[in-house]
Amino acid sequence: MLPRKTTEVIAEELINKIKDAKSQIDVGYQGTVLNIADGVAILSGLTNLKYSEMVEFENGKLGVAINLEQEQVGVIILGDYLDIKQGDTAKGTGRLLSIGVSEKLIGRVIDPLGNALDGKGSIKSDKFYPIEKIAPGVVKRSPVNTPVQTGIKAIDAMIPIGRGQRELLIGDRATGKTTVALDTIINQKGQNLICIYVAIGQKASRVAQVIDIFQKFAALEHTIVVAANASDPASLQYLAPYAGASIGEYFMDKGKDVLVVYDDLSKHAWAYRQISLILKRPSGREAYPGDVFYLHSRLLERACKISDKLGGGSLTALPIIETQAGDMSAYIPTNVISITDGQIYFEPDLFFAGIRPAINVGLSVSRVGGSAQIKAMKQVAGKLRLDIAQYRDLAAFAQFATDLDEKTKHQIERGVRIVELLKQNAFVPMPVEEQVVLLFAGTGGYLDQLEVARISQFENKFLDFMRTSHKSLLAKIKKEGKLTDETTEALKKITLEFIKSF
Amino acid sequence: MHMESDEIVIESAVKLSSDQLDKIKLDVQEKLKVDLPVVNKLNTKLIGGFTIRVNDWFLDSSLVRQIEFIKRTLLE
Repeated sequence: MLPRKTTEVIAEELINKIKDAKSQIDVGYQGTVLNIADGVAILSGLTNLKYSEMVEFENGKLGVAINLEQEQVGVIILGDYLDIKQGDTAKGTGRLLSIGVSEKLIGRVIDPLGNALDGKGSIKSDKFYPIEKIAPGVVKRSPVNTPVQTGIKAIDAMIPIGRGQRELLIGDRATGKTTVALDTIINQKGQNLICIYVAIGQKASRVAQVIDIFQKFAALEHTIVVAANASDPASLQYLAPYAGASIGEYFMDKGKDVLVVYDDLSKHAWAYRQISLILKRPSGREAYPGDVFYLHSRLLERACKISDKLGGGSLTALPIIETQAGDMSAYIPTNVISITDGQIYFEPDLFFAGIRPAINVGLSVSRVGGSAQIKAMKQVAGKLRLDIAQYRDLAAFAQFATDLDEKTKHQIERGVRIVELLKQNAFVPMPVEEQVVLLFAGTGGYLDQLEVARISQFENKFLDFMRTSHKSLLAKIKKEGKLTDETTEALKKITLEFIKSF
Repeated sequence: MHMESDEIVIESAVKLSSDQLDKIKLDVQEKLKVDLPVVNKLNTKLIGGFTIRVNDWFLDSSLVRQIEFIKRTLLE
């Protein structure tokens, strides 16, 4: 508990604060509110305002200029706009919209302006980072080469994500997109990766649930939550992902690795559509404004891997898009698919068939992550993606045929077992070396004689066995990052022996 | 759309003398390069000091404003 302060101490502190107060004269240009609707104010005057400059209303409320015209400016109001009236005055602050950043943000829950939402007191900032920033150019970047271990077998094996990559999580509602993102964050404990979870337009109860999960798995120690809930004004929902990216850039500029989850960008596009329509900007397809592509491209382009010469930090982005009835060809999904370096597609059919995470392997790709995968994983999972895609085709076809040739049958048998092996419960991420030994058993064909129903039992027992009896082998795989001839032989022997006694 | 006012509006807590008004007018003329008539309005809400308004431009040296500044430093 904090030591109790006497009234004298408090009074002294207050006196100290105002001791240096000098009389200052306030000079500048001021505008008048002509019109205010749904969080957007139109002001007259303020002709010398800059784009993205903060505007202060006479009651102390802040806004941001996002529409500059000859005679008037459009300002989105940050926070509650109900006590701003027509005829109120406002003035430019000369400061571009920025967010206070510091190491102290880690473990906190904040709104997109940097105010604490977790009731643990205000956060002192070292620096201010602009919310909008042009992404680093080509010269400053280096190719992606370090993995983000998500701890999810299906992703780490088949759709690997690298540090500095942008990988989209896309799918219908309630198909496990957020769960995969949360799993990834939970798995970063001790991995030297700072995580930022940006909640955009979500129910407050859902955000509370997510924070609870972070606390339960001790993941809040390396995580920052930026939340603009469904009840917050559209302006804050619009700014939230940029604020998250700015905080990420602060750590990236210090040479650290950062992971930002944007949950989700569909709602972000909705918030921006609302603002644009109120500002009377011409609307296009699905009533989105013309610059909705740029809205997301400039955000996701800020994800990058900085070259070692300039500190070598990285910012990985995991944007989430919610599709309606699996419609991937809607406006926002196609936009974001084309911006990102690959996508992980979640399918309701798989989800309800009990295949979780419900990833459709055929439609999911990672365009740059392959070079970030550790060698051992490449060795055991190299052909996995192709095999599973083929298995799905064959399985669909085999439903109509009674007898199949030996090879097809074998392929199907193998596929069923691999799919079973890749199933994973929520919030139990798996270290990469354990994934490697499991997939070694699966792709090596050691499980082909095992009943499918016993696979998950095998998984648990085998991993327990490895952890207790062959700890050094696991440590070796982790350390070397590849399977040498020697380790392969040893692993082969252990697996065969275990299967025999199982 | 915004209103073009054609005067320099000086609000003050107490009535200013014509000497004082002339002095302010000269300063404003020099600073903003405008030649407009001066209007003095009483506004006791300012407590002390005065404010000047010419179109969008303003200068606020009122006591209320000073107190507001102090309030803000205390809340920080």
